[in-house]
Amino acid sequence: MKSVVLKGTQNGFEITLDDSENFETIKTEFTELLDQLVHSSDYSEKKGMKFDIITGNRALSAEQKQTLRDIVNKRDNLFINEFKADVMSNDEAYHLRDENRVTIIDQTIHNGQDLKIKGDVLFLGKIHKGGKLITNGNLFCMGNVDGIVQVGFPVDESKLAVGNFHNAQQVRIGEQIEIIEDNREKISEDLRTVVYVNGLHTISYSNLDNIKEISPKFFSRIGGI
Amino acid sequence: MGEAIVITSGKGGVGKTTTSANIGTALALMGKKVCLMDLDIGLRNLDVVLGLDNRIMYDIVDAAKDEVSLTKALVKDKRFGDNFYLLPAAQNTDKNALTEAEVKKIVDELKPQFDYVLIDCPAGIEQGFLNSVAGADCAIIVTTPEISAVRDADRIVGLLEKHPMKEAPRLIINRIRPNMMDNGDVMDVSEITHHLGIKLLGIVIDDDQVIATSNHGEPIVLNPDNPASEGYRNIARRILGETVPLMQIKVKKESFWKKLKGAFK
Repeated sequence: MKSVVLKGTQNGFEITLDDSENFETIKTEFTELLDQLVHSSDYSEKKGMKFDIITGNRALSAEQKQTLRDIVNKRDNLFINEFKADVMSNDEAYHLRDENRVTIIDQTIHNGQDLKIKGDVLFLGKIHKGGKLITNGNLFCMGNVDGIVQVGFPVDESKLAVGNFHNAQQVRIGEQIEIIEDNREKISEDLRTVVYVNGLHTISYSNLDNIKEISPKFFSRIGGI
Repeated sequence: MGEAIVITSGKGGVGKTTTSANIGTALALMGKKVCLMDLDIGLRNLDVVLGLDNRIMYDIVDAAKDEVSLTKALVKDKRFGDNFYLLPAAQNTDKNALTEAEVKKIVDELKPQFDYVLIDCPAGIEQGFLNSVAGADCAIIVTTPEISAVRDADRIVGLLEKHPMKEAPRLIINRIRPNMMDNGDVMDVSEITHHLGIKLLGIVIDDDQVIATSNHGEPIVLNPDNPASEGYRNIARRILGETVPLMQIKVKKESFWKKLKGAFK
């Protein structure tokens, strides 16, 4: 039984690597396979050939991927499309989880405290003057904000802050900073206020009723039609 | 085993030292054995307020560096029999002269010998603050009704939240001027307490006598009739676990005749 197998599918070619075989053997067999491939009738130098590499229950390290790429690159007109695995590293998994979860927080952020969160935040607590709530996602805020909130940290201007920010010190979205004191009359005390960055890269205020126009992507994510 | 209480505020000038001296004195008057520790190294004041400045021979840095025994560095206040001792701060060095471990060692050494060890924290949140809270079992945060003091107290609440002690911090609102609070010129007691979200231990009314008596090295609690003294005594009783109702803030209303007299001045 070969540990490196080439298959043709509807979407092109796939090379499956046996996930129980050691990597050195795979490397040799992989090289042999490519040598055979170049001399086979399926291959024409002009058209070239692209394929995915399927690794099953094995996550290749960056170095291992590079080794395979180097072997492929030595041959003309052969390309790796992408690596596909049924497993992922903890780092990738955590990243994915943090990106897509909503964290619920109910605490008081005191003067001088910075609370950094990954992903979207549903905030039920209080932010005192001088306190900071920072997230790389969106913020949905039902608590009292007298301090500073920052969404889309550090540079993502597509994120939103929803809540009553009438008494806040600052609202920051990505790199845009709004000092609320100077715009107090523009920002209502309504909990349904949405703060966002508009097409001109300035911070703007609206209401949740207009969420479809403000961020169609977000609107579709929350199930709007 | 005694309890170590740190008295802190963040902001300077809100009355940490006065509060330490008065609570300490009040506890000693109630028959408890008290040791006051001054950690405001380089700017020591507690000895002056207590009238013990002439009696200092060694200080906390000497004791921490094992140059003298801790007992030798303690200054006894003879007015209270064997109940009241001061561990003075050093004057010729700065707040970085001590480490947290050294202070904790001293506090742990004092606790079995006393009912209460009160630690007078310096202003700020640097090494001096860290040293002061290192050995403490609980904290008393002192603030005044001024917004800047409340903001700093909030900062301290946040810092203490990060390094929780055995007991939650409690609040003293100092230097209350009844007429200003009555007029709504400053935050009132319940507003401040609610904002900071910690338990209120007591309030102290601003009184000229507090400064006048401390200039003579006599804490105000030695005068039982003064309103500020009543505040400090109530606080001491609450520390001992008694339930004492909160003092009513009375505004002195000028009489009609006095107003009339004023009009003709």
